[in-house]
Amino acid sequence: MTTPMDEDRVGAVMRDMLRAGAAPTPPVDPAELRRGAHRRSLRRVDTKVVVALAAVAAVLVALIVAGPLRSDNRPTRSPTATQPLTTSTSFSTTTSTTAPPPPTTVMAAAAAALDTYVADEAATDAAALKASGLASRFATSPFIADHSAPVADDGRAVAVAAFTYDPGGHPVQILEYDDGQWTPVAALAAPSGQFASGEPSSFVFLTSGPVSVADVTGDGEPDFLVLASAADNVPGFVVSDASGTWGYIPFSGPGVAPLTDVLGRNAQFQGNTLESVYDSCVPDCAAAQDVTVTWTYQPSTDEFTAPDPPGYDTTTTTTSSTTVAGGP
Amino acid sequence: MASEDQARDTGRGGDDGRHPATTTTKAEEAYDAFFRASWARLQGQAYVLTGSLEQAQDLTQEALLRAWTHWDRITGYESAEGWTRRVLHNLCIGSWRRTQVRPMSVVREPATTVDAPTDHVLLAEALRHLPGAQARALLLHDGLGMTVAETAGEIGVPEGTVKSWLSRSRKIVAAHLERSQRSAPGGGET
Repeated sequence: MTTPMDEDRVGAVMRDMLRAGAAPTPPVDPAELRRGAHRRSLRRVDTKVVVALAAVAAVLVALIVAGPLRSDNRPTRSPTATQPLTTSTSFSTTTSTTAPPPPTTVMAAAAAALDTYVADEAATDAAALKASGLASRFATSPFIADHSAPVADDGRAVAVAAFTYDPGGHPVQILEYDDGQWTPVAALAAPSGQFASGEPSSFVFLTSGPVSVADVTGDGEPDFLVLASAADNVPGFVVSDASGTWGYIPFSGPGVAPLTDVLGRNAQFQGNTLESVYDSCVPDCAAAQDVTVTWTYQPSTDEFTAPDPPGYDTTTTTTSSTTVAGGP
Repeated sequence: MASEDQARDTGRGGDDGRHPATTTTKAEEAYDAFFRASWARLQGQAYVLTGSLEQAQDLTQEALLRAWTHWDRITGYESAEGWTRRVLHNLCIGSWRRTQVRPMSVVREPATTVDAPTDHVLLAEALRHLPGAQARALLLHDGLGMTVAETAGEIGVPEGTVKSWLSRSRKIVAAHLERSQRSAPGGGET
């Protein structure tokens, strides 16, 4: 007969597992692993080029078929002119002996599959929210599902989707397109900083709209800005794998303590720059002139920082009850 | 930790980390030392979070591989092992989701690991009932013996939040373990 475990036993079993799982001899030599990393980086460069070509091809084909490059005087397109583009790639890195579909087909299929995935997930999660204990607490908040467009990341097609609620406590998903379907490769609990206290990990205040994509961390890979929601502005939070794994990049300052994942006011990507707006509320919040704050990613601490904007008063704002970055 | 100090002191040795040179550099030597010094600790943590020695080995290898690809960056951090630990924990927690959404995939289920003691499998399964950050907090504090302040610093949340998480997580995990044991054959539930 087994003995029921109490809370003290949790720590004891955990420490026992740490000992049992700590194999003293690695099964692989570090030099071999380094060579593996090198080979992987080469493969990623190859696939990155291929996916980039696919994206360019998709845009060109779209422009030729339906856009400004179409001309009634233009001779019929030669099949040979598009041949290199239409045979370039699919998103999957699996080697196939069959001819890959044209990139436009792949792009359209990935986008359509993403819409379907998000819609299915949203239907399930919305129903779960109604049945949950949070339903009454957030009764006035509509259920929202936002997602980005499919984008290339390290040779893979990825996207980010955010749902108002997830019963499993992971309402933000990073998805990868493979074998014709989208699959979560990582899922995140709700970002910190939405509430002054008592944050449910399963609920996110969202604003309906697309998840923006840019390289605001400067690592050459896409970062995603999800639109959050506040009473009088549209905050946002950044999803990125700049640190080596998918997560939120927190904001430090102006005057924010502790770190928060949610940036107000009106967070947005401008090119490859992350910006927000600061309202000094001087002489009052309605009459004050907004100041644009530019946020810089700090790789050493894996956070965004920004200089104090003109009119920023550290003596009053740091004690704000909200932890959303960017001041009032 | 000595290996981490050594890694920081040695520096990058001129290559960019993503395309390592073929000759052994100081950076490679530092990485190799870091690898050998941290492997056992990291795999133990992965085992706690997955309940599978095989999966723990795979994920530890992946985390250390990523450490090398970002070596130039992470050697400038306070703790290279801290960075790798964070990556590893997220890989493990990410594997929970993969396992949930891909029940027929090749991801190995902890419950099918034949040589893992029952307590280990049950604890790994119980941890999956926690949000990822709370499971990390429990591992760092109760497993690795970090203080509340150290745990809060590593996860990036206030100390009060960690205290609250620890209290709540222990109750949830203990309750799940007890339920699992009672419902198991010979577990006391009639």
